Amino acid sequence: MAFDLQKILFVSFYGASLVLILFSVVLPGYILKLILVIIAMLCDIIAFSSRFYWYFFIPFLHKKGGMAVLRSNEPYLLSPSGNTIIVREGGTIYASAFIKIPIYKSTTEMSNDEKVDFARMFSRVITLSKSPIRISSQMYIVSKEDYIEKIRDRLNQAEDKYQNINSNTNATQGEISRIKGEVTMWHNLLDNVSRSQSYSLLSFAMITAAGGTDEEASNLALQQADEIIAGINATFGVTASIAENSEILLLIEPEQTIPYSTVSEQIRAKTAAEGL
Amino acid sequence: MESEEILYMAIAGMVILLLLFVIGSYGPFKIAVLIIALIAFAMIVSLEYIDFLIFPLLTIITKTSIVPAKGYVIPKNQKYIVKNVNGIYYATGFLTANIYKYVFAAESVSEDEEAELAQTPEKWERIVMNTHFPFKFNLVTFAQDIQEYREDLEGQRGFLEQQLSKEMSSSNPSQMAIDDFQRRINVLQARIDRISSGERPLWSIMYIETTAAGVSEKAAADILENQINQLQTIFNTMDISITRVVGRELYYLFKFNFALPTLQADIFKLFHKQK
Repeated sequence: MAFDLQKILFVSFYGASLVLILFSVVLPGYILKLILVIIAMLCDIIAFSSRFYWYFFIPFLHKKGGMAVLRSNEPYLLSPSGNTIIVREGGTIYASAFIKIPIYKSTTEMSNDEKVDFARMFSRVITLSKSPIRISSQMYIVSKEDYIEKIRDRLNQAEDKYQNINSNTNATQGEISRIKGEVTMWHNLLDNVSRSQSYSLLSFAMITAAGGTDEEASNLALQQADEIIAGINATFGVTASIAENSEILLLIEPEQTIPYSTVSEQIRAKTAAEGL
Repeated sequence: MESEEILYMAIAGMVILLLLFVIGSYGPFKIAVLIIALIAFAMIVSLEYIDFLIFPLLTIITKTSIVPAKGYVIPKNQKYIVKNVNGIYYATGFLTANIYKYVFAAESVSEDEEAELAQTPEKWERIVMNTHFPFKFNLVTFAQDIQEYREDLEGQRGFLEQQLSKEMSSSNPSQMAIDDFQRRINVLQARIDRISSGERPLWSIMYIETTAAGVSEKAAADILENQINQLQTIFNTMDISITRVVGRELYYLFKFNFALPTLQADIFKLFHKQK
């Protein structure tokens, strides 16, 4: 349907340019002729550009406040089963499945022959599917919010203990020093964890299938994904699996790759630097 | 140039030719019409070859930002896509990453190529270690029609063999040219042999995606710019040809995050300049 619209636009503008030139030849008045020629040439240029920009024409004509809206709804929907995402474009429904490829082997552990074999194994993996397939390696900042929360809890507990033991007249100096040391330890740990960012590398494959309904497209995508998983497992000797729910979001949503805590830390550091 | 590109240019050019054919009917404005026709022709040629400059220019002049989907905005310079989540802006930019030298399985693995193959995973690890921001290296592939690809290779080999025999039978044959022809024929023969042994020919596009976050769109865009510059430097070690993606192709790469075209022809159509 999408490319049909492109053809309609092309034929309309191209036809208009031809008709305008014919009119410019037969109509009297040179100024009018010139205006018709200019419009005809514009139509010809628009017809030519419709090959790539057909999707932009109508939103551009309807733009409001400087915004040409190509799509007013979400870019995708998560399927009810949570293992595919659904994209509706015109009358076609596309479902995409994501395959996690857990490769934790480093080249530092490999001999030269193993490195060559590894590169060849990779080339074998990319020939696994006849349909278009995307293989990606994604580096992202690990969200340490839960971990930081846990450390904060432990720090609060340690500080409570320290206050209680300080007010206790029977407490020995050794006990007080030990609790004080615990508080310092949690403080240092919290500082270190908050200050440094942890990165993680994740490899995954993505496959898309088209269908008439959400279920049909999802099933086709999952079926293709299963075939690829079997190939990846046999080639690399790993256990690849289909990504689900939040795992999919990590692969497609930009905010998932930079957790909120990292951004707030960046802002804090910038503010501190400006303050200096 | 693909046949479809030639067809579109020819059809668009026909209107201009028609105009030139009837130019006599414009009397005193003949020269003006000729200039208009030439400008139109130049515009069509520019759209064919540098549309990635013209389209952003159009959106800058008309002050038009594009909303590719709810929550996302492509600003008028079309250099990145921005998403606002609870007041934090996430700017995502793309770079092409065409690997020329490195092939995932060399055509005919000589000792040098084997060493390069061995170094590739190591270089990749070094890149990962030296990068301190999120990025994604993407490889989109699909299998080509074996018969068509084989015929194409055989055609190329036949042409080179003809040139080689012409060079050898010349009165003053150049050894360098003969060696070059033989090397190129060997590469093509190695590809044909691999296809005969059951391997599938592949077509691929490679690109890098990186995201930066900031408290304003400008802050995120500035950080992104810095990240893109760093990626260009870091990936130099892999002899990768890196180009910033702007305009139409940025929109298509954004869409690749959610769905890939299921037909090969669609990918060819979208990225004809990145092949």
